[in-house]
Amino acid sequence: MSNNPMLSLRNFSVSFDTARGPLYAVRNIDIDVADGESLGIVGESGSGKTVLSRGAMGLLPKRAAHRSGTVIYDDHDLSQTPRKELREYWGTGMAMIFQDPMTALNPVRKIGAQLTEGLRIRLQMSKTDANARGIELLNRVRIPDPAAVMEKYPFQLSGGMRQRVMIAIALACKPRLLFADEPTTALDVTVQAQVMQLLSELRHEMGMSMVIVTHDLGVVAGHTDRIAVMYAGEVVEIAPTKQLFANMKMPYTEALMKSIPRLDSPSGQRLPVISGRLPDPTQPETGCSFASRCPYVTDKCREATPPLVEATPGHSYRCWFPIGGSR
Amino acid sequence: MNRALPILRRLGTLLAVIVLSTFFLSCLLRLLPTDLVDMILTMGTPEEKAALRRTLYLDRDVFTSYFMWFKDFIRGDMGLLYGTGGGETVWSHVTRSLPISLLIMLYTQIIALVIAVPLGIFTAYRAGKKSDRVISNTLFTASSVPNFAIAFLLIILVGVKLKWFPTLEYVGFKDDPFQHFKHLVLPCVSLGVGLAASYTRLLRTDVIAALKDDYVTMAASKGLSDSRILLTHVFRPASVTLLTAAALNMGALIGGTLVIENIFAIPGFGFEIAYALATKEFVALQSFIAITALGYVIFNVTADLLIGVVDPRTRGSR
Repeated sequence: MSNNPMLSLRNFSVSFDTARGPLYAVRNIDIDVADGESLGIVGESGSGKTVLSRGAMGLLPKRAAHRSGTVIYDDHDLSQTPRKELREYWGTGMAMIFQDPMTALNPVRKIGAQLTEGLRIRLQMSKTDANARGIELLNRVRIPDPAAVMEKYPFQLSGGMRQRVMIAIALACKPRLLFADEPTTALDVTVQAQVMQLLSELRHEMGMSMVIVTHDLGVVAGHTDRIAVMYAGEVVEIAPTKQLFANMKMPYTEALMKSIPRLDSPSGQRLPVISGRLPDPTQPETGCSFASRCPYVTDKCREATPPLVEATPGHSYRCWFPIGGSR
Repeated sequence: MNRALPILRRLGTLLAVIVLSTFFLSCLLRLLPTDLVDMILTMGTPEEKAALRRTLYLDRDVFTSYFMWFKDFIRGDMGLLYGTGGGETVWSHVTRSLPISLLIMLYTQIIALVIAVPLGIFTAYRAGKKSDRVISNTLFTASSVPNFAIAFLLIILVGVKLKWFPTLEYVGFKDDPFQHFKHLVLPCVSLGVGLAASYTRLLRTDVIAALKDDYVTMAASKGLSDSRILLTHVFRPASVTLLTAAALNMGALIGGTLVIENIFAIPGFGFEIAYALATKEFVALQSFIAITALGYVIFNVTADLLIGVVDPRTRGSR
């Protein structure tokens, strides 16, 4: 096994053609995911985090989405690989858990069929072997009575169960890198914690790398090694998880942090909101993309785009006037 | 119990539809401008006319006569064809002609589906590209040509000029299977082309919609090939509308066979209906139309049951 990262994105951008010109959903991203590492990607809706994960995997429709930059997975450059060859990596190398377990499972096919499909087609398992392995996988994601669940349809299961089934499907062919796109957003709070716990355990057991995409800093806090904060298609701050919580530099990260509800805040108190909205991704910006919403904005922020600078090794941010000074 | 209940309720509505439609039909017989009995027995004596009136239950009130007729109808006693001198029973005509028409409808559906399923999936997969535009526009043109026009076109080109297929008459499957199919190619193709076009469009729309669903991306992320995704993940959920349309079109096909059977001189059910209309065989016509209504209802229920098989979410709720 090499010391190179499992996944390495360099100058990675994704744009879509729209009636108003190209829309840059993801811009100039440089991210590494180390072997066995868990990386959180946090940002609000529309910040480009889903496009980033789907784009990195190559799942975006080719006709609509234009990718540029490089994607290196396990020492293979996949940025120019045609979809037919990319498929060889999907499921067995990279896999994805989708946001909504209500829509991501085929409504008219049995759980068993959807779960064992990858095993049979990608790993050429026999029907009996694949079935046995399917039951084992359902057991592993703690689904009670797995043999019966194999014969059920998605609509006969609860949301939490469906999300577990989806995890089992994604992990079926033992991928080395798992993208989890908002894995808990559609679930109840209590189920959210269980599912995150399960994902963490499975990651350690299987020695996988994992990229968790979420809008909720609280979800990834205890389950990631590093966190990248995204805003308007860019990484605005990236740091080891503890470092980020203890010593955030970027006002946007601070604003995200403040918007997490806390048990010890007085009841009836309003949760802080980040006013304004994301900049129009079809219009090129001058200055910092967060300038229009930043509480500490100055003229300099509006005029010049701040580069990504390193505060301490492994902790980079994009701000002229970081919290806690320096620069 | 909870599984049987919807089926029972379904059967109840079915019965109601049949009873209502046939009841209005029997009322129509009484609304004829001339008396039915006078029409049949133009030269009959008053005694003969009274006897016929009793046989047709026209001496009773509307409801009694309807229920007497319905009882006979269910037992297969559908009266006589009076134009032939009263020698032939309606039932004998039904048993002779109905299987022919049902076969024509079946073959037509098979032809239409065999054309439409691959084309619908293909055009959806290539939506917006040249191949899709060419196929879709061709089919749209084909669907706007009435089926009798297609029939005449085929008769002239394939039948008369090229002499590939016979253009007249019917051969039973038992008599000569090869000739049977050969004789039915032109009628079934004429009926099937328009159907295939509309089926293709229905399926194309549904497949395009299904391709945008999350579960398709999910299936792709397992590393499955496009063809496998289309066939196992997309086609089944997308075929519900097609299936409903196919079943409902069985009813419309009854009308289609009426025209086509007359063009190709096939002694099917449509031919019988046309003949009964032309010769004012109203007694027979009443039973013919009742059978048509019955068929329509049966095809509808079949469609519902099939949809339950294809889409398990609808089981019990329909």
